[in-house]
Amino acid sequence: MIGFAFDYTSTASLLAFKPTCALADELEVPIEWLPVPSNARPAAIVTTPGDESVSERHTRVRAEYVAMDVARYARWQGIEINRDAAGVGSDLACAGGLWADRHGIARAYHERVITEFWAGRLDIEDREMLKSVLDELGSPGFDDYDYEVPLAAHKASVEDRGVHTLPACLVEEQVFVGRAHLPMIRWILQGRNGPGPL
Amino acid sequence: MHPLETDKPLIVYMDFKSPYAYLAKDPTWQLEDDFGIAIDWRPLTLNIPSFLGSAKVSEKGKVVEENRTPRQWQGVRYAYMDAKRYARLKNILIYGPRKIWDSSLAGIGMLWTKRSGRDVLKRYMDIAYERFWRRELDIEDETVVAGVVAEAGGDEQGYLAFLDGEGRREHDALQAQLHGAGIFGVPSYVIDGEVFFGREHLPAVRWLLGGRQGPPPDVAYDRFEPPP
Repeated sequence: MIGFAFDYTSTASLLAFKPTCALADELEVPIEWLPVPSNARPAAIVTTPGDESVSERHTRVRAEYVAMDVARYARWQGIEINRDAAGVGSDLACAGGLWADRHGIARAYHERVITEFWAGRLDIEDREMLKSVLDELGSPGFDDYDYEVPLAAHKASVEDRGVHTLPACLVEEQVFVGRAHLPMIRWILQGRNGPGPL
Repeated sequence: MHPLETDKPLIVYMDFKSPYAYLAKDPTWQLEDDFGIAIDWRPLTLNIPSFLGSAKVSEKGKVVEENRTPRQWQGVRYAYMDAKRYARLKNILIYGPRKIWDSSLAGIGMLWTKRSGRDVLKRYMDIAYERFWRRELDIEDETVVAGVVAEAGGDEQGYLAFLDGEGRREHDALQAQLHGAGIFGVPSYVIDGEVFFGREHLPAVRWLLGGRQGPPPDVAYDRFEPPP
């Protein structure tokens, strides 16, 4: 079992989605789907060189690097990123994910929503649009789902398991932040045979 | 020294006080053998309090001084847990430091031993990383660092003179340019002016050094076989 904690509004989650699914398929292990809403990210505070502290400059340079790095790997892998997620909340989309899980269509839903959101073709704050996705995939009734309490409990339970940064995989009670750990996860799930990854 | 320019195929930025740089050291040296190249190794002296806050712990591991948010503590604790689980696989010992060190003297030692050639630099880095992370090396004591330079086959007195003059100037001038070049952490790899932060990019670095054969790889912490 691989627990996969992610957020639709995270580009790192977008880049981790397919490789995580591919590893689970390769090893024939199920994925425990853990969509977790982050707080809506505010638009970046623009600081200008010469007008910032060392800390602010470090934060800006790091943020610029992360954006460049995500764009680089997305370009290399043919993944569409046509929008920013600043100010976008993912509570509804995560609630849809819980609803989809009840009907056995979680993977199809997550893949559709995260891919289409970043391609700029899906508004994940529009309940009607998410309902359409769920209806189409065979999970009707989302419009009547009172999700606040179960979503809050779900989020708390994921955090209680040690997940504070997304995306993260949970394997044998260990938390692995980021898709770079997939070789380690493969090594663990294959019985820790041979030398481990570096 | 321009942060993104070199006459070598690859620049690598390292800091002795980063456990992630320690984990990257050997697989990065492996690039020299696997691709028949020389790496331009450079110091990046992290200003950790500027992005992770600061803290001191007692010999018993109790926090005696701190200036960190809960989020920063989560980040620091995860980073050490993560580094240690990979270190265990290589029989590397990583003891969490009790304070945030100024690693500039050791970084200037990198610049100095580099002048004596690959073998001296490699021995210097191997000794300094291993002892520092076993809490057996005071990298803020110039005579201690000079001793490591000598043990690695370098010129101890030359290092001390370099530290007091050209070495300190070269180090400080380089550090002042790094943010402007988009470099902020270690290990960082610069190839053809493109920056990659973290050893998870070694597959991409290897792909670029190997002439972009096949599709671009994804990030991964993994072992590598020499190219055919």
